[in-house]
Amino acid sequence: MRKFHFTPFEMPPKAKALRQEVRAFLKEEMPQTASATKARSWSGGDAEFSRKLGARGWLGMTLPKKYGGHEKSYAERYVVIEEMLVAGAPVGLHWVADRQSGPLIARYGTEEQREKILPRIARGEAFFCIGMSEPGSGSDLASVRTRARKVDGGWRINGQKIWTSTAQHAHYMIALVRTGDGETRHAGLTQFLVDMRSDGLTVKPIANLTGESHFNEVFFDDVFVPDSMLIGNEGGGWQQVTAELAFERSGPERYLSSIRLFLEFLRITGDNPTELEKQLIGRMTAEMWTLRNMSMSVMGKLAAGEDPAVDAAVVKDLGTSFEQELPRLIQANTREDVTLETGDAFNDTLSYLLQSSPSFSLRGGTREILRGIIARELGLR
Amino acid sequence: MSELRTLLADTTAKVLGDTKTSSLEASWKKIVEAGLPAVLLEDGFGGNWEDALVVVKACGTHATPAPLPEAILATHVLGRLPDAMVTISPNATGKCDGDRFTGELRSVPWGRDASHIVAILDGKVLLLSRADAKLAEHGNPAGEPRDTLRFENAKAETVANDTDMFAALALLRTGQIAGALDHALELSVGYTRERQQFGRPLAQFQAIQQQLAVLAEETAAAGMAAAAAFKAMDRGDAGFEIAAAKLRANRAARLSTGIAHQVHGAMGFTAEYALHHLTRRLWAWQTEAGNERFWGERLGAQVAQRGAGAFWSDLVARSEA
Repeated sequence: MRKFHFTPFEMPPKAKALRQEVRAFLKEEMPQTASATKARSWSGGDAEFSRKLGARGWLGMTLPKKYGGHEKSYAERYVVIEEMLVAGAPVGLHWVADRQSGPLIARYGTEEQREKILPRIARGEAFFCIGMSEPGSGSDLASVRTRARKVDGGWRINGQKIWTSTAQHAHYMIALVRTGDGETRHAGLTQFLVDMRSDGLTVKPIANLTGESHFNEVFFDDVFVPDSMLIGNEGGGWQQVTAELAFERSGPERYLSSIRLFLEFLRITGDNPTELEKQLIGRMTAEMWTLRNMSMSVMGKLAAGEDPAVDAAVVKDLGTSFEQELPRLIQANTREDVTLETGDAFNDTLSYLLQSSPSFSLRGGTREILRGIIARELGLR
Repeated sequence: MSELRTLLADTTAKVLGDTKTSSLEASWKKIVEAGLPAVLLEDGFGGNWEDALVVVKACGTHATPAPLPEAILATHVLGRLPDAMVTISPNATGKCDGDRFTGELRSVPWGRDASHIVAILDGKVLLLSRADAKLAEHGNPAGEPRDTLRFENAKAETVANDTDMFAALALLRTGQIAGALDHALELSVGYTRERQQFGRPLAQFQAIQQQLAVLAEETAAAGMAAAAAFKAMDRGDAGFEIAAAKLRANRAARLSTGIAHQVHGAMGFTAEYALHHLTRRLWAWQTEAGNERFWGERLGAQVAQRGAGAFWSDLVARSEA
């Protein structure tokens, strides 16, 4: 039986100075942002803000310098993103590009793709979305039916993606599509870099239950993608997607989505909390401390070149369960004068997070899928 | 893991495995011969708290029926290894008059078997001889001795030391919980792969797989909490980390014992099968050295006092110098 070992990761000395720099920048940039807006964090976006981060050298931090990156450590990138999330900065537009598309292209992309796209990611000018789910392929990702047909000089894609976050703002999609019917379901899948302005490509936003539109339907009607935009190996899409997931699943955004409400709770509770409030605050602090340690531990493994995909699944399930439970627990334990009615910083934050939290354990792989991955690692399936 | 630490882990596993069925006297002799209580001593193994965790965790994994974690702490506080079995008391009440102690030590692990007890009273370490005490035998739900010792004008050796014995014991229990969970997970995975129902192993049922995944996650969380808290001891003040770690380990134990028993069915409920050696300890250790209410209140009060503005910077400051 495989055992999970999470060892403490110690931040390097330069992390501290960098953290102060990031905090000073955020203080300057976000003086008057409302709490409920901050709570949106990586679900909110601001192209101007993304470009400012690029100018500061805080995007594409781990990418090679020759592609516009900064050759910083994973730890330094971690410091920047956790400070952004805690401050509730509008990081949603560049989030996917910085987190996983950039590293994916750096690892599997062609020289031309790297030269063309990575510098734009690092400048905060190229936003990405992930084309995985389809109407018939949610958790069962290997069943994707959107298909690329070989034509002269490239490929023609037909089909549909769905639940594609930020597609309406993205410049590129990394799409997982079927290019063949291999021996197994996982064979015959290929990743393409698709220009979102391509002819035949249509994006249709889907309003979520809060009335906001983050995710979309994306339709492909004979969309042409040149050969040069195939990423990695034809038929190697499944393996490449799996490698991406360790980046997607272990980051601090998997436990910090509700921190704004925790801070609001501390604010309204003040320095004279009841016994019940103290306990709640203590337990949540213990969770966050543990999850931060676990998340940094996975980052340490990524930095060491290991493949911590299953450890990342552990962090994501524990982290999203926590950030999802937090608004419910706080709602259950607020004082009687809390009404949830709009127009108050605490109420608006709680109200927003109660409604958006169901997505926390869906996006990036559902709870059930993650537990299935862990069970496989335990030798149960 | 460093080579020395791997060696320590191997030695510990061998000694604790070998002594499982021996008498306490015989196993303690082997434990001392292997130098395990002296893991933190300069002239013993010379290790740090991360090394100590290796031994403490193994005590949980093996459900070791001896006060080895307590002896590690006592030895550390005293700065030397006494000749015979030494244990600690997390709760000392009474008064010290010069080198004379009158009072009570409660919840003393293996008090009836130890030759000496280390306790803290008013910021001073007391080293007391078991022979001077009036003993009342008690035990925790796992049957581990937790005795009450009463002293009347007994001779006490005192040394200046400000160790928070209660918090230190909480740290030890956190390590033991992490170790016991490791083993409970292993038993649960092994059992469900063997046991057949409806013509296939239980492990093939999704309902079982999903529960065991949670058990593995909780085990990982407890392991992380213990590792980070023991590491914090090496940096100095670990009050925050101990509180957070005991809280998290207790929660993991609370959720995991339920799952481990559920997937074992009636077999796990028998005296014959090994699971209860772990789960009964996990139940006992959640209460010992502070339950979730205790540590939640203590940690919560501290965080609330510092306020919303300090929360995050305080949290990260503890992991970077």
